[in-house]
Amino acid sequence: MQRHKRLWALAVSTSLLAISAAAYAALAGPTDARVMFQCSGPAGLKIEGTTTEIAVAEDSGSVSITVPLANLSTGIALRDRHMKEKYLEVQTYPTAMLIIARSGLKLPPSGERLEADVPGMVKIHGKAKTVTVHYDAKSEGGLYAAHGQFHINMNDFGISVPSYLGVTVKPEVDVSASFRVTGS
Amino acid sequence: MRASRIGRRAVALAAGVVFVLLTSRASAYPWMIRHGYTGCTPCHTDPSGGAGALTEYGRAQSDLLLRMRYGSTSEEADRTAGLLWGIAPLPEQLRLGGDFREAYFSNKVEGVPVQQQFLTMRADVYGDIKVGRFRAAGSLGYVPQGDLTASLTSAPNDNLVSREHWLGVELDDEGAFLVRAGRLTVPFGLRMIEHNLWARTLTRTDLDATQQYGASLYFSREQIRGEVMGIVGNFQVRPDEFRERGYSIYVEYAPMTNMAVGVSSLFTRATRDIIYSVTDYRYANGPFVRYSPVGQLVLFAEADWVYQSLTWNGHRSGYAAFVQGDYEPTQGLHLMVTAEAMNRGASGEPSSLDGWLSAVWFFLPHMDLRLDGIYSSVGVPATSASPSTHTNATSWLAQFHVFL
Repeated sequence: MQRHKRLWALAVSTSLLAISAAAYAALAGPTDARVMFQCSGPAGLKIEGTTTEIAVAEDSGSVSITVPLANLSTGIALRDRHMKEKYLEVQTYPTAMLIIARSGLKLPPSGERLEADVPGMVKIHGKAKTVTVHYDAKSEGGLYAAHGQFHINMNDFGISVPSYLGVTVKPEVDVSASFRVTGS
Repeated sequence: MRASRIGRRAVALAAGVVFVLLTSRASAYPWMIRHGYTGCTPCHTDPSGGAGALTEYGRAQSDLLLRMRYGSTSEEADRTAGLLWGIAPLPEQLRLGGDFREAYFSNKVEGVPVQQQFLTMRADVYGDIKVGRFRAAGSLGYVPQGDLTASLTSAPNDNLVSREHWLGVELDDEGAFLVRAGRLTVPFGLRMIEHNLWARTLTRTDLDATQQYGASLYFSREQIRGEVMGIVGNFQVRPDEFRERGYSIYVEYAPMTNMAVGVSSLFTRATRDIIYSVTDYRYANGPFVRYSPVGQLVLFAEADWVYQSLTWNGHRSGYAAFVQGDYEPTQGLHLMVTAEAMNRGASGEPSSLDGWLSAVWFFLPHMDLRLDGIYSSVGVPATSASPSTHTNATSWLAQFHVFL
């Protein structure tokens, strides 16, 4: 019988963001944003989900990067539906968030690039967990091009491991994000 | 112009043979990479794809991603995706299927009357059973003409065939490593439904009747997968001196979910080659690639260098290559363009070229219609009486396919 649970992907990811870089100061509107998660199934199966929606804000010494999950897409409509309805429960938990202490973020001097790790707090599916975000940022005259990534396990966030017709996704998920922001 | 007539007849014969042999599987669709499926599991029971039954997951994908949906694409897979349109539910461990393909074929070779006929291209049933980590699979079919190297019976026509039958053991829980032995599709290049592409016929690695007996290891780890096979000969061919022995391997690397690149290598030796009737050392090597730059478009390419050392008959160094583009403007409808080049390497043989325009419509669950138009310019080697030349042919093939 059908254990209809879809492989989808866990979306989780979403969370994304990582990017610390973002951190930037009075950050103004991220552009050229792309958030992606990747997880895998048996025998080399790969699932990738993306969205271009992201919001970056700075408040009380923290930089928060928020990703709405409603438009997260893996390229297969039914898989997306399962991901959002059964696993991420987007109706209840519509966003994923990464919060990083502003003081922990390093910014590259003008025209240069830097790479670093920073601790952050990921909130997905109503649960929070500390992760290490690896990021790089490049200063391009008033603009910062940032890319960051981190790793999560969906079990840590109370997300059921997706399984569909005998194919079960592994709970480990790689999350990455890239965008440009302006900083003061 | 006797030589010219001979050349035309040879081309007509070759074209006729090609299409008499033209058969295909329901499931050799490497363009599924457009959906992020770089590998053949978890949809196929054969981890290298193309041959054998679909898994339950694969049947669902055929309903969700293959056929025209005529509406919402986010609905659950229809129960008709199952065996016999869902009227024969099976336990998870038993995967059964069947393929039936009928066609009408028209072939016009310049200077030769048009050849037209109906063809039964495939009438096979097959199955795969998995008990714990142990696997057993096989196929049985009826072929009115051709496919003699897969025949279980030995009549000139109307034979029973078994294209695959093997026993195997999965070495891990997720089926990423499979050791198997029996009659297997030779692991080489892209497993395309168009088994009569020159890259498949020249290397003798199609899904039709060129399977070999031997043992293989399939492996898949992260972004790399492949299969290596030790070939001990085709035991459905007699006597033993016709049997080829050697190895074949492909390895494919998928750096992204929309791209995969690979290489293949093959070597065999036969005391008497089944075509040339002399001792033959046969080598084939080449790269292949699949790439989906956007969801609606997938590009494939393969190029193989083929070298044959024919005892007392010299050496042949040839090649076969193709490029194919598959455009799916709406789910279930595929428009394809294929270009091929080939040279068997005979003395004085000019290269052959052809082009395909194809359309496939997966119009209902388990059913599709296909139309191919093929223009070929086949190189004819020089003879003592005439220089090398090309003979042109135009072919049309209309197919109706149903899989169980």
